[in-house]
Amino acid sequence: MISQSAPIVPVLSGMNSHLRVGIKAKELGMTKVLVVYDAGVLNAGIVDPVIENLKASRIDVVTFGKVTPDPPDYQVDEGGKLANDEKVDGLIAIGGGSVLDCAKAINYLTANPSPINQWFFPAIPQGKPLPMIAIPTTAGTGSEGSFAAVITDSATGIKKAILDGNFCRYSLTVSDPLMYAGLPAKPSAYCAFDVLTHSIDSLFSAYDEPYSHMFAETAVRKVVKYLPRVIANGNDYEARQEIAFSATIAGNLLNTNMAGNTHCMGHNIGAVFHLPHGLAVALPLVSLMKLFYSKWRPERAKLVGECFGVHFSGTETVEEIGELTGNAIFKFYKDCGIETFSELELNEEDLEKAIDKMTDDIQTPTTYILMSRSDYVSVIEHMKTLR
Amino acid sequence: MWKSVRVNTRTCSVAREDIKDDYKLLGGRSLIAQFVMDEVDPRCDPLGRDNKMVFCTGIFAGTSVSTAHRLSVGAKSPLTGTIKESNAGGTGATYLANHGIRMLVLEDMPETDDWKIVRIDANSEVSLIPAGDYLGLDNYAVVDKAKAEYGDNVSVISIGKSGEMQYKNAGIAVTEFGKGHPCRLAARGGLGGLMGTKQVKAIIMEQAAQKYKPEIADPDAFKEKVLLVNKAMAEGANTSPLAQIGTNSITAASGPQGVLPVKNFNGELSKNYEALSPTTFMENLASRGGKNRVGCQAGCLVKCSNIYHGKDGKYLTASLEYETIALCGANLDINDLDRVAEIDRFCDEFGVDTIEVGATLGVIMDTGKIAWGDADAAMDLLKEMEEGTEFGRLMGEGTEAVGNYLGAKRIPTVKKQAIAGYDPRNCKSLGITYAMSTQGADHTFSSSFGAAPSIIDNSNKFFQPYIAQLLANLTAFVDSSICLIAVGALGLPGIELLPGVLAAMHGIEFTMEDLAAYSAKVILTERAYNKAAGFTVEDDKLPQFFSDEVSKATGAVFDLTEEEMQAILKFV
Ligand code: SF4
Ligand SMILES: [Fe+2]
Repeated sequence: MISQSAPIVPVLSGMNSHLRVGIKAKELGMTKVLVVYDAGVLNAGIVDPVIENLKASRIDVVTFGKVTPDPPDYQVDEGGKLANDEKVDGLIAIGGGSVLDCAKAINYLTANPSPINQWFFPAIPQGKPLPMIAIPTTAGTGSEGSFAAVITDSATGIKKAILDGNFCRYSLTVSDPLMYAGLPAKPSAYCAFDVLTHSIDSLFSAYDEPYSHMFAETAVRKVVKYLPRVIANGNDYEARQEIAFSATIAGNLLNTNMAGNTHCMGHNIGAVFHLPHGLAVALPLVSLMKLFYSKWRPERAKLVGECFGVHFSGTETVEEIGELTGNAIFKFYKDCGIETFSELELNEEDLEKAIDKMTDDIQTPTTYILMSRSDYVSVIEHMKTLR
Repeated sequence: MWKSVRVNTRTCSVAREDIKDDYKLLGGRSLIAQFVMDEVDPRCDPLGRDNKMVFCTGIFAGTSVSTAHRLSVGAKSPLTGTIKESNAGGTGATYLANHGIRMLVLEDMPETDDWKIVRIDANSEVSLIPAGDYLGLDNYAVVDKAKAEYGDNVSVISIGKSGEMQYKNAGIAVTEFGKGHPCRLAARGGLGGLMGTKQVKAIIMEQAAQKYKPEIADPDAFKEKVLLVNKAMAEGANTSPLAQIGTNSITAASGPQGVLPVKNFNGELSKNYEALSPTTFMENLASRGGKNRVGCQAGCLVKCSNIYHGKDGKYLTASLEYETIALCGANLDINDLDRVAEIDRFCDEFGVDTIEVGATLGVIMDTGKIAWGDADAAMDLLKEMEEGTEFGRLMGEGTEAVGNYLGAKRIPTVKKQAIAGYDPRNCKSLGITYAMSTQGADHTFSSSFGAAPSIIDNSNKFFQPYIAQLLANLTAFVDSSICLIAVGALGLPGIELLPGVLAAMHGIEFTMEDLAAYSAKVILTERAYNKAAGFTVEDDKLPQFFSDEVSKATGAVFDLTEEEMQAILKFV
């Protein structure tokens, strides 16, 4: 198979690297920027130092701090209008995946007519995007490294994607462990599980690109090694930085191999039961590994197992590989204090509704071997047995 | 044969002898390193009678190599206690060379008040004459008086009142080529104060009636090699901002990168570096009848100097340089070139180092004694130095003394000498340089800002020890031969032309490898001297605040370890 790697977003990392934003923005030719953020990061005191830093580099600042989780289309339209009215020449996004996604969508509207909902995938935006800098404050979605964004279509309530290698692409990601330190252990863990699933899914994707294997393996190993440290001590900056790095490179995987079946399932379980994305996508992983992934690509399943510390003698059957790897992942979940599926006591009727949508999920097109409804049911049944 | 002249300031004897064989290949910094090692007890009191000071020329003096006439002054430094070579442009070295003098040594000190002037007349006779009413004069007045007595063509090396008061921030002024303003200072390390202990107010030289011609072993080859150097320098000057604007061209890069020091090295971006920028500088020159592209010495093809006029269109100062603008401007939040020029003029008159003085004022402002940006208050404090009030005298002891007295949190010095116009967090090679320099925090030990390729992030450790080492190793030779700023215009490939010149001059083999070995020997000699004077690796450190306080301009801290820094001295 012929496959091509995706361009990697440059990352400026290190303690206090948020104080380099002004100089970098200037290097990118920005003179007046729209700073996009949400109330959470503003209250955390993260936004003001960045704005001050931009101003110190003689960059004019306009702010758009209204972003909410799963940003609705009208929010993007409002941000886009502000960017155009103020004639900004750069965008700075400070926040988690929602903020980073919103800024990407705003970028569409600086060169394409409003509203944003005419640009949902597969529409192709035209013109020249503005340079953008991401300052992620959560280490998970990888939006800073991916060329997609999820925007809620307010007419239907459905989350839709925009996808473009130019308008959705950050010119620079500033990854400063100080920016992540405020996030408590539980949400930090959920975010890291999103990284895990992006990485592991990519190894079992229809698109199979060699660079991505390297990224995926590195990201998994880093999460395994450093997440327990982050959970134990939120101010372990070295561990925060490592997790952030793994999130960003796993975000890059979303540009080629993309996420897979964990996300087909997790998107819908999460939507029905209002679970955090990271938890929802983590729930099916162990069962998928045992029942499907290990059978599709046993060697890859072994690689994943090794990342979790499993030693294979080389004589294991495919089933044994799936068991060993799945069990190792599950043990890691427990060590990290993540809820099991049974503990959540989800109502069966709603669960059926979620399963109904799994085969049509936006992630389905990139999965390796198309799974049927009954396949998903078997995974769900297996998930219930995990304790 | 080049001569060595020894003046005993106690007995007033003057001895003239041929330069030692061992010193034949030495000049400028290399000569000082060897001379101080040979003759000055490392443990001596630098302001006592055992310290000797030497004025000398570079290895290409007396030839047509462009910028071959920097005047180097050396001794054990009163400020740092280390070895010291401080050099200046101007006419001093050209005149000395024309008199056939490679080095002039001032030894011992008078037992009573007995101020003298060293006079070198047109017949190259060296004599001591009473200082008379030269005493108590500012440098400009010294020059005016010398001109009146000996003619406009006179070259003057003098100390201002700061030197008479034996201040440790006092430098030695040299008249500039052309107008003869005493604006070129061998400023650093308190050598002016040392000259004060010798009670020598000035060295006044008439132009030699018979110009000494140095022996050249292979005149044809020499001519050809010199031509290559001069051609490369002239070509470099056509594009180099150091020539086209002057040293203040540096502000254009240092300001936006957070390298320009702000408010006593607090690590922020200057709020108004535009007011100090090359653009403002050039506008001010043009609109008031000042000018740049002034050569400080005859035959300079780079001409980085300037004449700066005030708002009234009248002469204010000359040779207004980047370091002064950085330390007395941005570092004090005095974002006004006219006020900086005023401070510069005062410092030239009074004869003090603008870097040391700017850093001292920065520390004072930081403790709240006077307000940031208050140029009037700054001038008042400078005048206290002149009046010799208690605090003024303390300022004369240098930045570290003032900082300790005021209990300042940030004291930007290494080995008691103030650091120059580059924040070491954001240009780490300069941080290494300050720490490792054999002369206290001296940026010229390895003047690396702007030397690394543009892809290099100077606030990152990467590449920084390498560039610091590379330039340190070239600079020791450069400081012994030609002007460092001219080398900035000449560029690295141009430096490779220099060994050929020395080879042809002496009929020896001399390659770039020899140049490196030559430089290494200079640095190792200086280090050995400092070691004997009691310095250890513990002294090769930047102030801790650069490692503790994050630069708001870039997020960087200074994070090089002792091992990483000491490695730049590995010569083999
Ligand atoms: S380059 Fe500048 S400092 Fe050097 S000799 Fe020429 S004018 Fe003087
Ligand atoms: Fe995800």
